[in-house]
Amino acid sequence: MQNTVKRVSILVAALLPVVVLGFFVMKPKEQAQPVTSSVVVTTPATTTSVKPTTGTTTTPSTPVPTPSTTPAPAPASTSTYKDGTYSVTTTYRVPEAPAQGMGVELTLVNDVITAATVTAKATDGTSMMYQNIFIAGYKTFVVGKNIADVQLTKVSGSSLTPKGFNDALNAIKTQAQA
Amino acid sequence: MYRNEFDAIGTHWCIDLPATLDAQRVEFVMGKIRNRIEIFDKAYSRFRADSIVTAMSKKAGRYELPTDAVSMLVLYRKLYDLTGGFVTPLIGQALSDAGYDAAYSLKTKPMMAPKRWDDVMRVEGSVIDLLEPALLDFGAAGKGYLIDIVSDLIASEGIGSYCVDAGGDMRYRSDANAVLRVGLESPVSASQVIGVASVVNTSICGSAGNRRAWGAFNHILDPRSLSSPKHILAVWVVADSTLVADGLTTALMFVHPEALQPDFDFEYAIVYADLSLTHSKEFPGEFFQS
Repeated sequence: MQNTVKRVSILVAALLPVVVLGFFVMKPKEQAQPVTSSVVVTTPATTTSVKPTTGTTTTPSTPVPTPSTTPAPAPASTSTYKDGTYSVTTTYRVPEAPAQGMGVELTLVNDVITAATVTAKATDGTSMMYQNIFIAGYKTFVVGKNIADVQLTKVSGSSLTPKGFNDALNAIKTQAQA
Repeated sequence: MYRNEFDAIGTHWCIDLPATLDAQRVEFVMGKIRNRIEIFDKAYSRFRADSIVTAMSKKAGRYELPTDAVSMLVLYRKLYDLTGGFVTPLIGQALSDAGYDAAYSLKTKPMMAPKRWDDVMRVEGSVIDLLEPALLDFGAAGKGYLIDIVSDLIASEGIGSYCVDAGGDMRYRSDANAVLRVGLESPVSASQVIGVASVVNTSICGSAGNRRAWGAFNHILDPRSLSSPKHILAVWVVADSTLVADGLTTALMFVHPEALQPDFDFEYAIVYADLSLTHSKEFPGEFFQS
């Protein structure tokens, strides 16, 4: 159990600097690989398992975009970083095994991370297991925003129901309360 | 822009036409649309006593459907095969027995799993040979198909920009390639959206069980378990054809996108029961996530 906690925290600690440093290491144009100029949200974009607590990161002097997934409608010209998808492979040390690798891919739109993918690259069996558990738990959850607060032309979802259906439903609810 | 709103086929329609048209022309086109919707409803609605579908539920035999049935029947057969029978027009009787009947009784009677397609009917073009009476339901793709039919009618009048929205499923065309921002309704709160799709010259359809729901059921029924799927809360599909987009939202309640991708060109977003999200890489939109 002690070892589990240790391994997981090493994994998390190893990942965070990658996410943060990713911007700075990969910023140079020659390494940037924008996939498309109109990048939209692709794969999981939150880091539910990653807590920004580790102090192993060199504090960057520029503000780091938070992994918020609400792309600000800011004009592209004001972005600090070029829109696109960036990838890197990192390694981290584990007890009783050689250093283990892990791939991270981030998509940036207007300085906001709109997608992040983690790829297991471990060679050690135990590390592979933990990386897979991490990746499996690395899914995103939708949250609602009030329709009034979002600029929309239309709304799509469950179809509006016919009056007859709603009347029947209300009648049943009334009966159930009686 | 002219916004024309009315209720038909059990849902609310909102048809936007360009402001450049004169009012008389709009009235003329809208009249044609209303007639066309009525013709469709009279053929395929299981909610009205005078429809072909209702006649088919009472007597076996050969039925000649309108020629527009061909595309819809072809899609249904394709989805039937690709989903291993989960998407089937033969779900009508089970839906009705679950309570989603012509009178909206919402009272559940004993239900039976639908029979196999080939055991009940032979389809050739728009002709159906019914080997036994069967209540067909075209709820999975019929509305999307009608949106296409109405859109084609508008286009045939020389109108290049329009939005045909039937209860949140829509086809949108813009001569100027203007983006339409479509809120993706939260499956847990109808006053909220969980994202925004940005569509241009395409169709988007959504499916969720949160409104058409009664007891343990909603309007989507698993033909094997005879229960409504609970693992998925909402599905959206963007495709060139509204018929396909609509049909695929139901298919995705039962099969993984990978099962449909070889046969259809589409983008999707799926919200699961735990509010987790998956979507295709090129889904044209953004999602609000925690």
